[in-house]
Order: sequence, then C-alpha cells, then structure tokens
Amino acid sequence: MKQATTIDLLERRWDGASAQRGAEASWLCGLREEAWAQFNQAGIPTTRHENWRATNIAPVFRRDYETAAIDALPCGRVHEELARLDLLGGTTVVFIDGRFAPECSSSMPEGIELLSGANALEADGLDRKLGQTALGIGFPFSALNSALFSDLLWLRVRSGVVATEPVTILHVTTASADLGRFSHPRTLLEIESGAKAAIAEYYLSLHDDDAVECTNAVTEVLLGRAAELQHLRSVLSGGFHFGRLAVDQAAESNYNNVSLTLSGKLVRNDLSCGLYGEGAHGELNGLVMVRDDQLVDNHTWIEHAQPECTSHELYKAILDDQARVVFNGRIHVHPGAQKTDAVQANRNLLLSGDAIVNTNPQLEIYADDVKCTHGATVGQLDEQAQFYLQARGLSRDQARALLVSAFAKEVLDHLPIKRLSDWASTKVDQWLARSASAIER
Amino acid sequence: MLSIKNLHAKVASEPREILHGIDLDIRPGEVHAIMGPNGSGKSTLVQVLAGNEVYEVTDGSVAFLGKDLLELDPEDRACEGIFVAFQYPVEIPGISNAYFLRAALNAKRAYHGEPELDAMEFLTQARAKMKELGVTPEMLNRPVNVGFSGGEKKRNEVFQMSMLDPRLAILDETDSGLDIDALKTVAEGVNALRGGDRGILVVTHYQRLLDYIVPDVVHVLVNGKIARSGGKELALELEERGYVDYGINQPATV
Repeated sequence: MKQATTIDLLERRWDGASAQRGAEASWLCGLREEAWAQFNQAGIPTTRHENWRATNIAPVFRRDYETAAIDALPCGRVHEELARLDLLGGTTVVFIDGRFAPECSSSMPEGIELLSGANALEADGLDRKLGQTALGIGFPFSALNSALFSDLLWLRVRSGVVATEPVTILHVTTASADLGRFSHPRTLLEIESGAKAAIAEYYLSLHDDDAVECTNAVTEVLLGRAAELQHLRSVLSGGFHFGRLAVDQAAESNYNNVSLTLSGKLVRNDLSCGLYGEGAHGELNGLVMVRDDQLVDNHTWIEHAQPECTSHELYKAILDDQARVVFNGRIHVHPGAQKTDAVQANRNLLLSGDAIVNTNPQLEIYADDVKCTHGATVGQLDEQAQFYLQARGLSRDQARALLVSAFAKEVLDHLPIKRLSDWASTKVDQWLARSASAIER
Repeated sequence: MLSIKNLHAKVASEPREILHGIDLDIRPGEVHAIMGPNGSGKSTLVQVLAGNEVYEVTDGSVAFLGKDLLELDPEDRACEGIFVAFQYPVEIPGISNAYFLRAALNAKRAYHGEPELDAMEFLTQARAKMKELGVTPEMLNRPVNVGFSGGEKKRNEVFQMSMLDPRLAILDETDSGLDIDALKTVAEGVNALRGGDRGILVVTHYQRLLDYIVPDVVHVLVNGKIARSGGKELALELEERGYVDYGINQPATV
C-alpha cells in the first residue's frame, strides 16, 4: 500500500531525529513527543472530517519523497531562481529544506535579530513563545511540524524599531532527480511592542515539475503592544503545501496579512488571527489564482477575544480550467468582545464552467454590541461593468482583461508596501496572460 | 448628426416592445431634451444608442455622422464620438479612475490613428479639466465610482465626458439623486461643452435640470413614442401640468 510509504518515511524521520531530540531542552523534547502522539492519534484527515470535507489530501500520502540530505547548498541556484521570480534585492533570509542557509542570506538591518539553530532553540523564553500552535488539536499537520521541524527561523524586531524596508524570507525545497522532499519549515516572527515591520514569506522549490514536494510550514506571529506588521505570504512552488499561520496580537497592535497563492498542486492554508488585546486591528486578505487541476483551500479564523477590536477579511479567487477553490472563514466574537467591528467578504470569479468553488463564511457571535458583516459570491464577469468600459471606448477583450485584472488587484490594494504590491501585481499579470483566451471567451 | 428613424426596440430576453417607432433628428450644435414619465422608454432609448446588448432593435435605423450606428459595437460608437453619461455609473473596484480614463482616451486615439498619451500628458490634461469642473484631484486615484456619492458619480461622468471630448453627448437622468448645488456644478460642466458642432441630448423626467441646461428642442416621450416636440417652453408647460395631458398622472417637478 502506497500510503504506508509516506507515513513510513515520516516515522523513519521521527526515529532518526531521536538524537537531536535528546540534545534539546527538555520542554522542547516533551513538546515534540506530545505533538507526535497527537499527529498519530489524529491520523491523516479524510474528507469525512468536517474541516477537510472539500479537500482530499490522500494524493499527498500516496507519494514517495526524497530523504537524503543535499551535499552542498546550491546558493547559485537559489539566486537564479530568485532572479527568475523577481525577488532579488533587499534583506533576505534563506532556509533550504527547513534549515538556515547563512551563505545565501544577507545580514539583518539594525534592530532586527535573526536566530536559528541552537541559538534559537536554546534561547531564553522560547518555551513561552513557540507554544501557541505547537500542538495540533484540529491541526494534525501543525503537530507534525512541531514533532519534526529541524531548524527554527526566529525573526525578532526589537521594541520600538521601525523597519522601513521589507525583509524577505525564502523557504526553498530541493529535490533529487524525480523525488521532492517532505519538509517542515518553522518560523517565529516576533514584533515587539511599538515596533513596525514588513515581512514577505515565500515558499519555492528548486526543481522542475517531475518532482513533487510537500511543504508543511508553520509560522507563528507575535505582536506586542501597538506593534505593526505588514505580512505577505506566497506559495510559489508547484507541489503540495500545508501552511499554518497563527497570529497573536496584543492591545492596539495592527496586523495585515495578504496571502497570495498562484501555484501549487494542492494547497491548504489554515490561518488564524487572534485579537487578544483591546483595540487591536487584524486583516487577513487573500488572492488565489488557479488553473488546470489545482486545488487551493484557505481556512481562516478570526478570534475577537477583546473589546474594541476591528478585523477585515477579503478573500478572492479566480479559477480557470478544472481548478477548485475552498474558502472557509470563521469570525468568532467571544463573550465580552463589545464594539467589535468585523468585515468579511469572499468573492470568486469563474473563467471556466468546469471550475468549482466551495465557500463557507461563518459568524459566531457571543457579544451583543458588535458590527459584523459577511458575504460570499461566485460568478462570472459583471456584464454591466464590461458594457460601461466598452461604452467608454475599450474593446470587449480590453474591457474583460481589465476587469479580471481589477478583480484580482483589489486584494493587492491591501498591501501598502509598494515594492511588495508591485511584485504581486506583476505576478498577477503573468498569470492572467496565460488565461487570456479564457478571459476573452 | 444623429438621425433616428422609426426605431423599435425591446429587452432582448422579453417579448414586449418598449420603443414603438421613435423619430428624432439632432443637428450639429443643437441641444435636445427628451422628457418623459417613468416607464416611457427614456432609458431604453439611451441604452440602445449606447449599444447595450441587453436590448434588441426590432425595426428602424439610426445614422450617426453618416454611419449606421446600429452596426457598430459599443466601443466603436464611443470612438466615433458618442458619449453616454449613465444614470447609474458602474462601480469598478480595483481600477483607478486615472488608469481607466487613460485607457479610454488611448483607445479612442488608437481608433483615430493618433499616438497614445503618456502618463504625464494625461495627468496635465486631467488636472486642468478637474480644476474646471471642481472635481477633487484625489478622485483620480480612487477606484472607478467606488464609494462615490450620487453627486460624485455624476460629476465623474461629466469629467469623463469633458476628457473624451465627444461629438454627441447623451446625458441619462443626470439630475437624479443630485442636490441643487451638485446639479448646478454638473450643469455648468455640460454648458462648458456646448457650442461648436457638438450635439447634446439630455434625457430627464424632471424639468428642473432644463433651468440650467437650456435646450433648443424639447421632446415628450410617452409609451415608447415621441408624443410632442417643441421649443424650451414645452418644458415649462410640463413643469406646470405634469404628464397629465399625455394620459399619465405624474408630475414633472421634483
């Protein structure tokens, strides 16, 4: 049975890491043991599980993955790939197959601290910070990541520091000739009180389509009081991706996430934003553009745990061919979270009659003085808008191309760092160029 | 410049005819007003002239500057010089007014074999027009009509109109939803475009707008036909008596 292969591989990995665990702090070792037990107990979710109803991940576990470590870190290759993706320049941190690659990375600007390896895992206080999503009730892959991650990328923006330039984080996976890897990148982003930063996280692979990797990433974000983070998260590799993002916001903090998914065979993101301090503002925005038989599933949670918090969520998807998109967005207003203001919208544009969208916006409200709106639409281009543009002189094809582009780029309006939004905008245009005939149809 | 003969039209998906044979001639430089009660076919006529495929012409002809207008796609009608200021301008999130308007201008220029306007040339032109029309400069960077008040939307239509410099401007219920100050600004914008050989067709339910945009000819549209045509005094008559003389008990005043 093929499914046994992938599980066997993960088990061998677990057994092989026993020496590393033995050398780690006891809290970490204990955490990993518990996480591993949880993963095994939960098993691989099937479509019978409520949270995985529309997303069949069995194909991920029917494959073999490369386990041997690479001999040399291919920095030249990494930089070629960065050039191809227009990502060269600026402060860059590179992790290859889940391990920090200092020779491919640049140094941090003043006020931003990068910890990895033993420096990160043995640092004081990590046990209080890595906790949040280390265990995985309902998130078996977060548990798997906690059990198996080999290195930690801990980026800390020091209290009061205002970082003007975005920091680029690249999680790169390599492959052998035809086998991708099953990797578990782990990131902790800490923005201390009053600090402001912009961070762009990219997941990419250094191989052609024959090899299929599985990236099981967990990113935890801690925002101190009145801290601000602009956070772009983008999957650029063509394989399987499980992404877990957990954000913990203190009072008056401001978090803004844009999740951009333009590739990937099967992508499942579980993104949660916790407004745990009064007056915090959290945004989860996302743009998904899929074609062929891609499947992208975004599950989001916004926890309004304290009064006077605001949240904004705009998820949009454009689908071509037989692609599928799932959106499940839950806004949870806890008892006592008065004066909550939450806005959620999910909009989907179908360029093909064979594409499928499953959308499920959910509100759960336990406070009485709140303002919450949500809505979802699935449809084709707005004929009235197309006519309006034509009546101003644009051809039908021009009008349709402009409208589809505008549909996508509305999400990028929520990415205020120009360098990032320009980059994203170019990627959107490149995607659209490939679907030109479907758009003109 | 515009010659409508025996025009019959309906909503393409429905059997019922809405326009039952319209005849109308607009000569260069003239300002015409079409007044009519609700449901008389005013908006249908405008949409048919603009080329909206929701409507189907079942009989008759429309010539514009010697061309068969009904044979042209909406974008070609625009490029030939027809501009329609819509009653309900569409909101388009994700496209800035500036981008949209420059694309429209350049489409028209390409149609006439003229070189494209670059971003600077466009901005210079746009800023000058905005100043003239009292449009705030921020409007250029906002998404097309998104979050605009009724007045801002109408003002934006007139701004687009003045940028696109049409041969024939058609205004569909441009006064609806406007307070008197907004109405005056919009009318000033339209009046600034009067003259030369530009034709203007103002379509309205209410006489009020015609106090500010004084027409040369007034037509009364009732049940899909022009019931009467006359000078500007016809509008004043409607103001006084409403549409009761035409068998419809609706006032023509706000």
